[in-house]
Amino acid sequence: MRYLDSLALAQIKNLRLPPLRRLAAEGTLGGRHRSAYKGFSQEFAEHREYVPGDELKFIDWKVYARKDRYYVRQFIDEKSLKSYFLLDVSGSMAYREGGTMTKYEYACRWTLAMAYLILKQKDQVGLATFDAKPRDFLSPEDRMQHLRLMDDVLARTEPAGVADMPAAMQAFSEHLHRRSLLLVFTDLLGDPVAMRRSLRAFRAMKHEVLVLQVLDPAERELPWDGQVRVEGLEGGAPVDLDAAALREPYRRRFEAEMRLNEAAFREAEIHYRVLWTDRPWFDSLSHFLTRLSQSY
Amino acid sequence: MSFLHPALLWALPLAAAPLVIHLLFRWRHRPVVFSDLVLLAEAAARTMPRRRLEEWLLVAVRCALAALLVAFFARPLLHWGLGGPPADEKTGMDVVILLDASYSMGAVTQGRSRFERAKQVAATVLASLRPQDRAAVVAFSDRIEGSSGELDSGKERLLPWLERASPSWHGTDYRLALESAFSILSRSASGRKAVVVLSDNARHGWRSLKPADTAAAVPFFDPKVRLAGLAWPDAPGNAAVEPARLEGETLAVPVTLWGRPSADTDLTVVRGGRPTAKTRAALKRGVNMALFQLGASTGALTGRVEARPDALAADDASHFAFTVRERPRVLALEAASRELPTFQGGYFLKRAFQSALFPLEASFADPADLPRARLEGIKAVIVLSPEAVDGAGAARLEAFVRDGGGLWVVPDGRAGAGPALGPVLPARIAGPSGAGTGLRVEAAGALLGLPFRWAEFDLEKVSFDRAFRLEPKEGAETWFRTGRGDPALVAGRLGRGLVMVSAAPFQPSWSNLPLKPVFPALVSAALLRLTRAAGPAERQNLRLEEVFTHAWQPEAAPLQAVITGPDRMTHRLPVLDGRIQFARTDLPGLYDLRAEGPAGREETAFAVNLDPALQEGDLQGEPDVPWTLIGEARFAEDLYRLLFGREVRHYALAGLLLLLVAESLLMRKP
Repeated sequence: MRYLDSLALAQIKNLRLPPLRRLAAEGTLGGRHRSAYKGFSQEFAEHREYVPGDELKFIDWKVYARKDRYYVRQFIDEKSLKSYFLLDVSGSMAYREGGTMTKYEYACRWTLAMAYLILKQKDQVGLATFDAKPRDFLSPEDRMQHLRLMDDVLARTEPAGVADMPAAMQAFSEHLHRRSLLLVFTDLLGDPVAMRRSLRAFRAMKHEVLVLQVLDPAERELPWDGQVRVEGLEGGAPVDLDAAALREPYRRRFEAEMRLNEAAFREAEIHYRVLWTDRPWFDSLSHFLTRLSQSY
Repeated sequence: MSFLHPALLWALPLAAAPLVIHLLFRWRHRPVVFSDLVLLAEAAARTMPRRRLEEWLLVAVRCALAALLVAFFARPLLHWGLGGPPADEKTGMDVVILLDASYSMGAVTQGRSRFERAKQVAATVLASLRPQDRAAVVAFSDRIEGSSGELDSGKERLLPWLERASPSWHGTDYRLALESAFSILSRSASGRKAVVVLSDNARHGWRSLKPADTAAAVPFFDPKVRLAGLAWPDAPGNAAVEPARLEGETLAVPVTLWGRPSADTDLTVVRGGRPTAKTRAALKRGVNMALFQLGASTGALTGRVEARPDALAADDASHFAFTVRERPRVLALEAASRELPTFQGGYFLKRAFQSALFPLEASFADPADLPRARLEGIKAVIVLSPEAVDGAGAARLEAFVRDGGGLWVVPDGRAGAGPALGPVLPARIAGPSGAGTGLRVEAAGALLGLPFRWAEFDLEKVSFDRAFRLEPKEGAETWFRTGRGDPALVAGRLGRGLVMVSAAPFQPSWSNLPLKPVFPALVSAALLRLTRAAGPAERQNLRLEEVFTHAWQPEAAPLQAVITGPDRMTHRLPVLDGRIQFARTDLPGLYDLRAEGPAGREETAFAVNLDPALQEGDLQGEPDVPWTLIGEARFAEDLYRLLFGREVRHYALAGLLLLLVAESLLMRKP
């Protein structure tokens, strides 16, 4: 696999995804997560009156003997978590200036590593890529073979085009019928207000959302000097500027935007983390998981 | 400002190097790729305008730095203010001193006349000349009064010439003076040339030249020639008494107040050396008129009008000389018994006499009283009601005319000239004539010496609806004709006198002549001719340097005339063709004329006054003169500084340091 080779596997082998206790998965398959719904599993919950259509095997004959009515047994069901990896594949994700790889590659490595860890927990992982609209979609599966499919999709995807996260999220939300864990890999560049609003919309739908903002250090530092003509990977009219003169004002503006992101996501109870591509992806992943385990 | 090493200024274009470099780098952009431009463009839009301003400021400061550096090495010289010695002591200069000798320079301020002060300044400049310097002095007014000649380094020759210079009675013309100075300097090869204008910077000196036109308008103009002038901190007011006019028995004296909104002065009329009238005049800015009633008198009327002495004494008095002749007496005969309606008979004539339009004394009488009327002293008789003159009256009038009197018969609208006067008239009245338009003057020779020209009137607008047809008798002259050629006024001699007859009465129902402006002129001309009164007196009040002319009848002409000027200098003039011409009227004042001829001794006078049109009484200076004004106190020193400048390299150095500080401050900005 391109983004999860043997070296990567060896690195993440010992990592463990903390239990996402806060997220009560509502999947139909058994898993490590306590369902919000009563179902049919090992741990008894209560009885309820039989209605036609209930499986006969769950009828509690002892109660029938006492009450002369049909009751079925209900159990607290453990269900599998559905996790969706949403990858921004717009042109800006192909940017690489100060990092060790492009933002897209960085996000891909993270995606597959996280997917591996989730699959290891018998949960399901799905994949969706988007730019201005959804591009690829893999339904959630809990099989390890699913990783190869995901890798194939990501490997053949070239970041390009203009990002339109609100539109893409709107389209993606039609695939979501249950509460899920959404891991969004994006650089949040473009119209940050609209992006935040679209992500908050998922949260309002009771999905657990994890926003991982992938950024190249150059996007914060503007590492050029002198007069430059800046052309955007997502198009737009080139901007002529004196890089040295603009560096500090831009940086202030950039950091203000990040603070705004942080505040907005905190308020919306969205987990938000910035991934700098100059940091080895494994380091940042392990650090992230450590922090996550502390917070859950 | 100038420079000691101006050749170094060729390096001045280097000052543009920062600008060129800035533009080069500004337009050469290195292309780079960035992930997304939204934030970047937003930050750029907010930051770059201010940054660009700072960049341009920095470029400007750097350019100024480079320029100042070049200027520093070129050694700048200032030509104004700051004091200190001139920078260049070796180079010689050529200077032409223009000394204003117009009479406004006679204005006294601070106890001395401006002319004396200007002379003093000129002497200072000449005295300060170094051996390598040359100078010339030109005294000017509205003409070149005198010149020391070509540029000369000999102070000993120039200073006495200057000492002899005196003010004139002329006006000011800067164009002429500057042309003269530039002409002298055009023959000089010196690197430093200057014209020093020692004048009161009179506003009226620019009639032939606008101050802003100096460079383009003056011949020989050289832009390298520096112009310096004398600054006058004081601008005194002045009242100028202008030539008086005699209007009837009133002496009208215009007094112009210059430079003050209002002032008062005492005006005195001096005749025969004694003040005869005095008044206090409250003057306002501009022309004021003072009137003096002189009373009825005839003969010579001479004297002067004096104002209280002020800054400019030259125009504090004006002189006058008039000859008041006795007004000829005229008797108008009109039937008093007739109730004459308005516009009929002698209405217009009477109104004209009453309004003193004519220089005549007129009285009216009834023709019936003619036999008893006293005609002594009467010069002419106008008969407006000829039908009322009976035979005795006609005989009286004929005798009057034959004795040298004048008679003008204006026909009556109904009866013409009447039977009694018919033989006396120079023309027969032969019935009515046709209507016609226009009036023609035939007797140009007989009506010479009038104060007007007939062409000034619209004679073609005179119309005759009705008129009598006049048939001139032998020897009679037709002086006026109607437009269709019929005689309108015929004159003929009778004995020693003259008789005239008109073709129409002075009534609008006959002719519109009495309503036309030519009517008073025609009556005036006719009466002057009838009374043999002299025409307007010869001009006895002249402007300075205007030629005086006096004429005698050939039979009464003397052999010579003697004119004595106000300076008591006597001029003997031969009388040629009965006249003299005298052009030495170059001093204001009264000139006496004496002559002894066959008719006896004649003594008369004429007055010569300054020309008020020169406006020399205005002592306010032109604020925008084309020369640099320098104070009187240190004129020579400041003139040298103006020409050679004072080195101000240390100021350039200070400027350099300041700009360096500014540059470093701008550079330190993030």
